[in-house]
Amino acid sequence: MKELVIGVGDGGVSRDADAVLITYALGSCVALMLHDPIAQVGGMVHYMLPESPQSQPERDSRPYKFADTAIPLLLRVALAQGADKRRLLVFAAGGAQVMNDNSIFNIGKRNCLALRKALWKFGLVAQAADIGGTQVRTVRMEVGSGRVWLQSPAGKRWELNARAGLAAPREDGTCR
Amino acid sequence: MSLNIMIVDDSPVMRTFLRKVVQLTGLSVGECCEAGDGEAALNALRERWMDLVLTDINMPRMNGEEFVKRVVADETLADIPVIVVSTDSSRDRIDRMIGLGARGYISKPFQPETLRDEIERVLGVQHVQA
Amino acid sequence: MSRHDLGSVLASAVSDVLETMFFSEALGPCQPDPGGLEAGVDFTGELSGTVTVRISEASACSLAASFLGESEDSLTDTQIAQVVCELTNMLCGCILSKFAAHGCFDLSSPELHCDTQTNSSDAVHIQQTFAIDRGTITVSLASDESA
Repeated sequence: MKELVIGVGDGGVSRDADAVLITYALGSCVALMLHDPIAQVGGMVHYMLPESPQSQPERDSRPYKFADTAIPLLLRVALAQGADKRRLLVFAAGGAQVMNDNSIFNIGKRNCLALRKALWKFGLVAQAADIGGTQVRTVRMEVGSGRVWLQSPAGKRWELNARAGLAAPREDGTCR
Repeated sequence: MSLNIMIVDDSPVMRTFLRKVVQLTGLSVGECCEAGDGEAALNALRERWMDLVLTDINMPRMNGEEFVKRVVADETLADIPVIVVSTDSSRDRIDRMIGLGARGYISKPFQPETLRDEIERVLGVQHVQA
Repeated sequence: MSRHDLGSVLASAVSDVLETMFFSEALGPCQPDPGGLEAGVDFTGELSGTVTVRISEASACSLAASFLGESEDSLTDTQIAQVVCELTNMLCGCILSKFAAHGCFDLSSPELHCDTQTNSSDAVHIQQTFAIDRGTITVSLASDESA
């Protein structure tokens, strides 16, 4: 499998079913992932801060650094690559409260709130999320399957389990 | 098949919020109707079939408790599942509303996913592995 | 319940409501900004009284945008006022649930106040102000019986 590394404050989208998007050492930062299982489009962003600065040049130079610019940008790029918003599965990880991060400037918590705010604004909801706490995380998403794996610094590995798609309509018509 | 859903709350912005949550479920929604109190909701239900009702409790004219009683007592409406969405999270109230016939109860404040899950539970939506 | 405990209840309710439904947070106690929007909800039941919320205009706009999932410049004054009322409604319910877990309460429809209300002579009155995004929020609880 081809590994595509998403750096801190960066993001990217792939249509290569053999690719794995990876981002390392999520502390207070948040990784948001989008996956369209039909179009096999996968995107990931590793944002650092909840809000972009007022200055347009600063916002434009690092749009993936801030949740309020990163999330709509990732969504736009994924849709441009062929993803359908109605099919998108959303995953998130990170937002930990790291050492020396006191409660007044709890960037991890603020990043988590910014994530939820943005998802709500764009009519999205996370299928699965591993956020908050104090643990640093590394995240991998397989573009082909959409499976997401997390890893701790100690090497423990676990999968983020998505809610599956809705069942086919039943005879009484109570679900799609 | 599309589902018809009714939202009953005297706050227009709360109705907007609930409508957004309904959209998050991914269910195929036909009509999403709104009413500002229990009386208006009852009148609307007698005009058009709904597959689900979300209702507040504290409302003018007819509150949510009276509304649920009337829905359950009316044999043409009794099969419509009602989920209560209220600021009252007391055990007494929850037990009372479920005892009256409400199929679900969500206390404010709530995360959108919580109400989404409750809607799916009440409607019997099942998730299968892709 | 002591005034200190009531203060903790108010702080906890503000955090719960802002974080859960407004994707925002209270940043700590502070002095209130002047002016702003104010709404109140009356409650009756095991205890009776009023919860009042006053919020800076810029904060009200920001919270309304978050709640509705819209951009601030698309909101009307009516929508912002309605969100402040709903915020007051939720804070009242949350506060009551934290210090009277078993009793049922009836809440009036929240009302926007045209002028800032004066404190009543109710037996119990507590007020706290918190810094929030773009301003402050002041929450007051007045009850005609001790909690």
